[in-house]
Amino acid sequence: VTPVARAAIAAPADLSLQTRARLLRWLSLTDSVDLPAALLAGHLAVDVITATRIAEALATAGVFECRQAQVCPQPECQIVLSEDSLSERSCQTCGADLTEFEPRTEVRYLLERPRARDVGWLVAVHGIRTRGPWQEQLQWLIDRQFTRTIPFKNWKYGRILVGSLLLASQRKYVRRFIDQIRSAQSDLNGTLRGGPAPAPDVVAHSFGSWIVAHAIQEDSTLILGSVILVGSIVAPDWPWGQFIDRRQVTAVLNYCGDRDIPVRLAELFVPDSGPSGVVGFTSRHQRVINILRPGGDHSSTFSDDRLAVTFDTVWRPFLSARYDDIDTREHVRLDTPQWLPAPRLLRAPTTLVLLVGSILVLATIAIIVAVIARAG
Amino acid sequence: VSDSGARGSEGGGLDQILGLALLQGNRFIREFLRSKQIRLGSTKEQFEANLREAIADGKLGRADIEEWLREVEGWGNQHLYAFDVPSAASNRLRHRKTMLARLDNAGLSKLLDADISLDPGEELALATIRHNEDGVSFLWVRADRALIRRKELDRYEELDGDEIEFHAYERRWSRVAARFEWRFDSGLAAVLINRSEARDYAAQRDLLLATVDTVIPARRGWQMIDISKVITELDSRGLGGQQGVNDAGVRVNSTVFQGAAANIRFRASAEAGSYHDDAAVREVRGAVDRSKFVGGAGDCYLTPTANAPNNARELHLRLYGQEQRTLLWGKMTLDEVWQILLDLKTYAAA
Repeated sequence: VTPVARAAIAAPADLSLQTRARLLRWLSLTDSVDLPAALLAGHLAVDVITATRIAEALATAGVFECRQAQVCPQPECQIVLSEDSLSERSCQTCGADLTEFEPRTEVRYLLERPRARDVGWLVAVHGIRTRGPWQEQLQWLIDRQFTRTIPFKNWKYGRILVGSLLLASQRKYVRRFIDQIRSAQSDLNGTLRGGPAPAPDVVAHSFGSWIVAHAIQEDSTLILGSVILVGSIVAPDWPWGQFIDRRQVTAVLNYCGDRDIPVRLAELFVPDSGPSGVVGFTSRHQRVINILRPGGDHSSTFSDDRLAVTFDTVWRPFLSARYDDIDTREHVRLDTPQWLPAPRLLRAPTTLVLLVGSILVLATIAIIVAVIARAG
Repeated sequence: VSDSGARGSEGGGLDQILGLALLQGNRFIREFLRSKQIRLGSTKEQFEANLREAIADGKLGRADIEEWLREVEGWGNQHLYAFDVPSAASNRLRHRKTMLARLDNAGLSKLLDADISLDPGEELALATIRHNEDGVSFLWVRADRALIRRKELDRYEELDGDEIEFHAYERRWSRVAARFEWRFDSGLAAVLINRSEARDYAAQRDLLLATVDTVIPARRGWQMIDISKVITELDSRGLGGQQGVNDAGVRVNSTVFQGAAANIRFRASAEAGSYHDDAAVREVRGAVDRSKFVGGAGDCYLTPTANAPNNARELHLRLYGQEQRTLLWGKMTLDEVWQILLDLKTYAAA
């Protein structure tokens, strides 16, 4: 049970909805905590008495550890003293003589958590028959959510349909995606933290998910960060676990919807695809996460009222590697997806050959009938 | 005010040695007592009582204390200037004869491997030069008053109708050391100056080096380790990779990034913490383009990696970029100081 989940239960029942929401959001975006109630009051925009009540309630529930800390009494310093400083009776930060100036005792509330993962830069890849207006919405959301600039690459490959069905053009898009990533990464070298650019995190929709998955398979030197797939048409038995184990991908979030018709039909038309955006990925790995939103369809995630909420409650915890903080109130975790591919006859490219063949046969018959009719 | 330790005490040197022992860090005294299976304690008074009892019982001798002092006395609580030494610089000086000839020329040969007085004068003076095939060290000593606060002896008096408050300090005499150390194989040399010495550490350093240079003239050409670079490098190591994993044994408590006309300061709210552990602060740090700033100053807790044992402890350094100076906070041992030096060199070269 995560600190956020425990806090949701343990927070005083009489808190306003706004304060409760602010507390949970603050906790979900915070790493370690080490502060007095007066400072918590500032973070939650409540008075000190309320903050103390909250902190005490969370301490009782084991979310916080309540500790009496010794603080340097020098007004300019005020640092929480280490054992070394206390043992040597000298503040190792400002040099104050602690025998002369007694340290001040302060009640502080502590929470030790591993650091969240940092987002380096992001790539968004759209699906077929669209230019992906959601990419701009997501970019604007990211700009608002982070206090620093997150370089954001909107990769657009055109409003295609037939191209997604033919093997040769599919390969072309995969190659172009790899080239785009490499070129953008090279542009970012030396600008992010002054060092080599990290691997990008990726958000891909529909056929974009197919391109990303195949790019990883195609080029074993391509390295991506955390990958979010929405309306994924990648085959559910795609070996993500192997790609994660060989460090080509950090983690995969498969954001599914159970009313996603295009995903269910993908197998019929797109070679080497499958309905993972509905059934999930079968790869059993701690960092392959299938999350289903009941009622979700192929593009509903990108609607104005859903994108911000989804980002806040699911995608951001995932990108921060706070996997346990992913919302489970409005979502269902698909832990053991099962899937069998459709019979070959019902899968692309066989279906496509049959479809084209049928059209040709029907056209031929129509022509013959027309010729006979004219001759008659 | 009372005097104890090296000055004004009797006891055939034992009191002097005990006085010096009690000036070492409590952690080291405790470790020493534990290693000798002597009752520990938590205050200097308890340590002194336990040491005296152990001596009286024959569990501890003067030689034991002297041996221990060699490892811990005069290490830590010092300002350090480190030099990157060219590998060829030591070729000739490894030979005892060459060194002796150089010392002869400088009029310092009588100090070669000389003993250090338990009762040095009050002026800082070169006391000994130690040389072997591994390195050379110059050691300056002078008697120094260490003031130990004795709050229980504070008193108030009314003098001519005024209320006067007297604050009590026990005066203990210690040997203050400044050092020049050069280990031939490390490619490193350092000047170490006691923290309580004069504030103008650069002037003090130059004074010491003027003597060293009479013996090792090539020293003038050695580059100082770039502490500004070390500061920014430590910050990056502490920040860790994208996954937030910091396995470099570095905990950065504060860093000042110096811009062209202003600076940015990051600082943790607890000495035991790091500003990198705060997600919101890390986000702000992520917006700082390191290449546009110079490492101005930093407080770092470093677990040495170079030549360090597995159970190496975290050591506190304060770094001053512009002055290329590093303050070694707290008492340390000879080995720990060298481990830090090697790590500083690695970070400066990264």
